[in-house]
Amino acid sequence: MLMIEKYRLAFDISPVPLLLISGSGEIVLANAGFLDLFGYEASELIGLSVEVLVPEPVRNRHPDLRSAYHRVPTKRSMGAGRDLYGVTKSGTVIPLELGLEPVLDSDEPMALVAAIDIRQRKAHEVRLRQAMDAAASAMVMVNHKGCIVLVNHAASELFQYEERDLLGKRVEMLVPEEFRPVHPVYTSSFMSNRTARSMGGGQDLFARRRDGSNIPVEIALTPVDTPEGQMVMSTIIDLSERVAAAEVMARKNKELEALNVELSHFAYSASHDLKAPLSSIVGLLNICLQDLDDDELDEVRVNIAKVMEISRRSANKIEGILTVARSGRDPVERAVVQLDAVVQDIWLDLTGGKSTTALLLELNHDAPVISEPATIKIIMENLLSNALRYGDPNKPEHRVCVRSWTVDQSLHVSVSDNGVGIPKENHEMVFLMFKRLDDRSGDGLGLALVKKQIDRLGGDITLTSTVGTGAEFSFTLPTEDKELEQNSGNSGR
Amino acid sequence: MSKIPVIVVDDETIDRYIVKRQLAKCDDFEQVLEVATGGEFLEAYFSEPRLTTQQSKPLLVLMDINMPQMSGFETIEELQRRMDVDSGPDSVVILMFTSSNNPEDRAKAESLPTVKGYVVKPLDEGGVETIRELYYA
Repeated sequence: MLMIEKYRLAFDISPVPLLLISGSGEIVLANAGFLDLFGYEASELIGLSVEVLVPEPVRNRHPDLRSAYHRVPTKRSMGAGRDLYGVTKSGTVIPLELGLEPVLDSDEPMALVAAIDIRQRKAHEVRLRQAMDAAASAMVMVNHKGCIVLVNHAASELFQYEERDLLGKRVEMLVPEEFRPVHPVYTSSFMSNRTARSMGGGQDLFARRRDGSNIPVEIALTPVDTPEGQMVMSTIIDLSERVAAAEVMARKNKELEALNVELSHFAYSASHDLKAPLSSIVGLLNICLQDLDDDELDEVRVNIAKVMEISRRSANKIEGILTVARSGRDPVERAVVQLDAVVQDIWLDLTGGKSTTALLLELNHDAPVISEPATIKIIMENLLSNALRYGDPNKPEHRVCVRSWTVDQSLHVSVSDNGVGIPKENHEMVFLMFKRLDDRSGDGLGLALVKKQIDRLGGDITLTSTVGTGAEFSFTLPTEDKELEQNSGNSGR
Repeated sequence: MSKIPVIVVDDETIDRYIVKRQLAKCDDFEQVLEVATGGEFLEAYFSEPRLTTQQSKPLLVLMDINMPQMSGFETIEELQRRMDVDSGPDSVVILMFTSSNNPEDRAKAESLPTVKGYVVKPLDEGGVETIRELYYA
């Protein structure tokens, strides 16, 4: 008891809340600071078991923990890394930091407990945590050994890990595999030369996500001194969107370059194809003038008729060029296309019902086809007109066959004929504007227009042909138009 | 003085007609031969008896540039190749005859050793005079 009196003096002058506990867990002494913190009078607390101060979930296990301590009494902090709590007389649970010290000079084993109220510190930690989690950039704090000690919400999101899967792990788990072996070297050299800087020295950096994908990032490194030692805070900015935007830009640039080349090709061809007939007209009219001087009126009449014919053809051609140039700019109505009827109508228009060429239809596509009726008409008109024109006079019969089928919601159509065919070296060129590869070629616009329209609709056109056996143009068109189907579905209800 | 033998290679019937009419007014030229494609021209040129050896003067060729199948330039390149291999007749004067005033076409014409000049359509009295001058140049 004398010993207790010795402690009481020290207790009462200590600003730190202190408690003296016997080996059996009975509260022997509590100072004013401790009583204040827990809201007890000394008379109420002395003699009670220390478990009254332990909150519910741990209370039952506490006597075992306590006796374990007394078997190997050492000076240490309680809880070893876990958050500790005490419960006051009024039932409030408060976070505590607890220090334990065995009292060795007494008859029975006793322990001195120092309790520090860390409510303020906890509140501060929560605020800091909230601030970090509110940050848009991912933050990862790494200690001098290269282990992750702190991550914010954005970092968990970015790397696709739960916070608990990251804490305590080596930071290399967030580094692309090929850089893992060298990364610890970088970490330790940063630790020995600690200045805020960006990582990678201008190189493109990538971070590895849980799913194994690497994303482009920018990383800023800031040294931080903490009670636990030197740390480095890395702020990581996801560049995926920026990189994707740059790629889109580059692709658009390529497209524009290609368009520019197409445009200059167009300008060259158009200037020739529009100028040539005008030259012919001037030449003919010049001759007409001479013939008028010589009173050759019949010749003048013939040549003026020729002039008119050339003029008419040129006007039509200009119309055609405008159609090609405009295609893709004007909005075109989408609707159900009756391919059968479209082909029959065009065939009648082209042949006037008088052709000896046989038309075979093998239409096996899934109905309905929803596309641009006007565009489909242009495509079929050109393909059928070509097929009709290139008959082989050496064969007893000229046949044109239109087939259709559906694969994965895309419409496949082929227009084939048993005519003269197209030489292999011309297969690429048939789709170029103004390319007339044959005397029977039209104005060199038809297939260029067909290709342009099919490209615009997201389809594809190919040519297979062998000279002497015929030619087959096949094209595909995506037919699904979810928006339209949904809209028509809604309006039906 | 003997007349100049002429062949016009042009897919446009009307342009060939204009050449025939304009050259007919000038006594210096023989009756104009005409073909519609480069292929026909090469066939005529290398057929027996040779077009050129029948004449006392070099054959004047008015060659259109923009033709289906084989362009004028392609035709001339093929002609030069076959003349080299064949060591065939080289008594020929080729003039490009086109509505194109494109600098690229002019440069291309200059690069071909057998091409002696460039005449822009339509052919009129001045053009006929130019052809005569180029031929004798």
